[in-house]
Amino acid sequence: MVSSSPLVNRPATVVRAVAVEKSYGARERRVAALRGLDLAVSAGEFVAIMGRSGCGKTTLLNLLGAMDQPDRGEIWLEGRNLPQLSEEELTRLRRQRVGFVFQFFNLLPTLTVRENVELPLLLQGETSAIRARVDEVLVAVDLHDRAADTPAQLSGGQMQRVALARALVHRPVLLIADEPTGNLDSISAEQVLTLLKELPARHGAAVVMATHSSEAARFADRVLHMKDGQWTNEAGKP
Amino acid sequence: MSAREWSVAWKTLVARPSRNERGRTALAIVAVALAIAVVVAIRMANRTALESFEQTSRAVAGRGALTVHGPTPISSTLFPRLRWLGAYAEAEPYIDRYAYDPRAHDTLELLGLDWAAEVAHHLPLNRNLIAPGSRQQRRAAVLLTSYYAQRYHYRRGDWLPLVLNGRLVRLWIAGVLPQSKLATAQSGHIALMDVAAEAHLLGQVRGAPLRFDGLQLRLAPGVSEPWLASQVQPFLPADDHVEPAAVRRRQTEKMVSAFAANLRALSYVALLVGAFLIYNTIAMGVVRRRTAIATLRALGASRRAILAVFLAEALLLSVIGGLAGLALGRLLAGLALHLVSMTLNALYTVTHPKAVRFTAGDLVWALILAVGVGLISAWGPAREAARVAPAEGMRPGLYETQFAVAKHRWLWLGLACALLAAVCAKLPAIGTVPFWGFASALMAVLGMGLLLPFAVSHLLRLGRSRLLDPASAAAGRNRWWPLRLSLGLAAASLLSALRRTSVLLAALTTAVAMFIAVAIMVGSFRVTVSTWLGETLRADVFLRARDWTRSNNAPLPREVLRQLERLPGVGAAGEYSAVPETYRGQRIFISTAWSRDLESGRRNVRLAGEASGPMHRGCPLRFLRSAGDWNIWRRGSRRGEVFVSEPFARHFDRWPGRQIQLPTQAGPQKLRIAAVFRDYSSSQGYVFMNLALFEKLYGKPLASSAGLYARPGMTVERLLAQVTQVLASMPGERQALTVNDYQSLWREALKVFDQTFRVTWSLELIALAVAILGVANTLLAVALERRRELAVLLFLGATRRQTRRMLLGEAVWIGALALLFGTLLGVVLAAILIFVINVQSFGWTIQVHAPWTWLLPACLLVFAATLIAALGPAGVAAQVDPVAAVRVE
Repeated sequence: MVSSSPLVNRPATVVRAVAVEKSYGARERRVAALRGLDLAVSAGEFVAIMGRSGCGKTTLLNLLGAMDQPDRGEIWLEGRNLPQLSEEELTRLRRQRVGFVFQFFNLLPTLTVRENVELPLLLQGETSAIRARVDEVLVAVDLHDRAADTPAQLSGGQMQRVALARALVHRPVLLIADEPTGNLDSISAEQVLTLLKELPARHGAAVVMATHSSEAARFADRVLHMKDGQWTNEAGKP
Repeated sequence: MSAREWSVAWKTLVARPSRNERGRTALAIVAVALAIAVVVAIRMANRTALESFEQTSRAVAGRGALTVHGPTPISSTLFPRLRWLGAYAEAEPYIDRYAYDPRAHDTLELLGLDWAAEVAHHLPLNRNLIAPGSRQQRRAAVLLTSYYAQRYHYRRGDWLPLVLNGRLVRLWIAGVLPQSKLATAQSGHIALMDVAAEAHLLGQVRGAPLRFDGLQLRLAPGVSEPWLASQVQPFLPADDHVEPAAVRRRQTEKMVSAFAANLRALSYVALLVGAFLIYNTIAMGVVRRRTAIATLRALGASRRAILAVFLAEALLLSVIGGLAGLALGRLLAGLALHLVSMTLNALYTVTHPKAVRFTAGDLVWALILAVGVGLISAWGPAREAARVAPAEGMRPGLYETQFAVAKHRWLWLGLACALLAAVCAKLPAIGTVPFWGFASALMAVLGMGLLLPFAVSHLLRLGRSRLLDPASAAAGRNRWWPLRLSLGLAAASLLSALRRTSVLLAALTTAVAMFIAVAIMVGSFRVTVSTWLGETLRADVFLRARDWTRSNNAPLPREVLRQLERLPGVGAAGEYSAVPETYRGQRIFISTAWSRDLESGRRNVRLAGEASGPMHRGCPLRFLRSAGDWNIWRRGSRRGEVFVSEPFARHFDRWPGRQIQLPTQAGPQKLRIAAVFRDYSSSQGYVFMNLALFEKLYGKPLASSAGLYARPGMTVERLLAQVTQVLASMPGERQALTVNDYQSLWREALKVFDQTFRVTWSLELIALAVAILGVANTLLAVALERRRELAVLLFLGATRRQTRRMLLGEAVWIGALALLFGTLLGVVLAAILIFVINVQSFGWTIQVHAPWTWLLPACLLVFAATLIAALGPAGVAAQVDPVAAVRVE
């Protein structure tokens, strides 16, 4: 059953946002992207965030994924308050605990499928058992036979599966997916969403996905709706 | 293509994107400007130097339409036979000598003409001419140019000290020449005196028939040059001839043509590097704007409009760069002229070029060159832009991988160029200009450029797989992992944009290769010259007249030499003489040398107890292919044969066993060549013969340089002190002669050598600077173009330091590969320079000695410069906003 509450207190909360505010632009043109938003996501949970373009979905994902800092409020990832961390600590946290999947795949065209997937491990300085872990994740996304290909040789759906493999290879606790099916046909989208639901859950990772598609949202455990930087289906405080 | 269509395409593809890339556009313009500046500067310097020759030649010996001259001076006894000429032409004898002004430490051309006619011509109102003074003053009267008088503070009525023909003379400044063609010749370094007075100053006996350098004929209106020449010729002695004045001017031009052509060719290296960079700038623009191009095409823009827009961008870059280059070139030209004239003075003849002159022709030429190079370079990428298919261009994330690099086709083309380079290297020079040698070098550069994609892609692929291989990283215990990762990703990035990488590398490789080639050539040449000097300069103390120049073999006063030879420390003496001559329309020198054991009085003998050396063994030469100089010398001399210098043998293709016909006092003589000797003192030919033969053919020689050998037990320092002391007692001679010991002469010769190559080094350094600007430009484009990829890396947990390091990693690859391929190409170019271009231009064989001891640090410096050039782009890469960058396709 799909819940609609942003704050469901469960024992193993992976990420928690408390009264988060974020604005963009200069003083007179300042636009509030998030207005005191709360959210808690547990291990193994799949949360979908829906809303119109510009409502603040991506801003929230970037904050949760330690890519950006809020103006006010707290974001706790595995017990660490992100606004209090240095740039270097945020980078390390992101490198080790977070995975990203983008709408435009964002694979590095210069690298092969295998090299793209290896990248997070290589950035961590991880050098042992890389091949085995990459093989494992490529098998999981059913692209083991395309490991030597470059992204240019793949279809959109295949590219997104590679992106998913890349996001999961270092076994993050949180997977951020920003419109992962926005560029895919319905069959490819379903394949990707199925994988998105199944693979992270295997090792207890939480997934936060922004989407316009109610079809995609159906795969989530919880669906939250956002408008003008606030939840529209708010159901409680942390 | 309508104007509106063009305007929309221009705004979308060039105007708007350029606003965000001002820095990059500026870098491209600076690179083009530098390249054009170098070419403009060398063109202006060459032209000014040649104009100086021409102007001097015109003013001095060419004011008449025809000149009469011969192997020996023209005697005044000829005049009665030419009396009939008066109806058709005005005949004026002249003497033209260089003199040294010891007060100003400058050289002056002393021109002897018909005094009365010249005064009447230049100073018709006698305003600037003071009244003739005493008889002594009248005999030494000279007109000085206003430039020279002002520069060295001479006034009318002053005495002008000059070293003329190895003697100190004093001339009386009777007046100052106003501005005129004559007064501006040699940039005002000219003095005019009566031709008879000058003849007497040069030692001609009063009352005897006078001897002149030549006779100029100013034709009366309506008289035809060929007709008069044909009429005059029968009245002349056998070896004398009459010819248009322009022929002599062309002789000078011909003499320096190889030097000028080499400089021009070197200056074009920077332009070639610039052309690579224009190509890259436009190509990168096409890649970066591919989506916009595709969109415009989908919306109905024609291929022609897209083509025109990118060509127009190149045109704009070229015009702005060309104009800036012209201005910069004008500034650099002064320096280039100074360096060029220094070389011409050292190697050929005295020249005082005036300040460089900027002409409308320079403007037009620079613009044509800039625009031509710009459009040719941009044609390929612009055509590719026009061919972008809308559907393909709009596919996301494919970047430059869309542009297939036909590296195998280029490989074959490259090999074909290499083959052509080898073929061209075998072809002979056209005149003295090694046209095919330049073509060979160009083919080698193009060949390497075409081979680069293939070679670079293999090396980068290897580098990427080895550096990003986790297994090998594990073996390295992760210590260097961050560095390996950055280099591996950099290799991958370069590999994905192989065309851009290859073109950038081609530019840097060319600049590095030329630098290395010139270093090897100059280094080898220096060692060769130094060794040759060591072998041929064996005396302990050397003497030469101060007014000696390459073209003015001023004699040493004989009585001074005899006095010095009587010094107790002198064991032996050697003397050398050279007289200018014309052989097959080109100026050469006939030379001889002799040594004398002062105890026995015997000539050209092995001097017992002296150090070994060719001069001491009686043989003044080092032969090209021989083991036993003394025997060749003795045998050839006994047979009455001559020895020719290597430049002579090569330029005229005259080798041992063949005969040459030389004009002599006794009429034309056929002489057999016994051997070819090495000579690095001049690229003009030398014909050497022993003293007996020289005396027979040209009369008693006057020594133009002399060497004194210390007796056993006498140190060089003591001998030098003795010589200096004797000269100090003769104030005139002290000022007229230069005295050097072996060491200082050797140092001076190498100093002159180094000076002659300063301009070459300057050109190479500018070409390198252009290439390094290209690195900065390209990496800045990479940083801008790969924002999205860098952003993804930041999302995946890369630090900003890592993204910066990745850009620096690209610079490391570019620098290292450019050095690798630049060294390979440099060695090939050095071989072409040494064995083809140098031999064909100057006729010198050079022993190869690569100066690795300083070349290696210089290469590391180039590498460091490449990294420094990458710092700015790396900073841009580190400032990428990842959130914004990943959202925009």
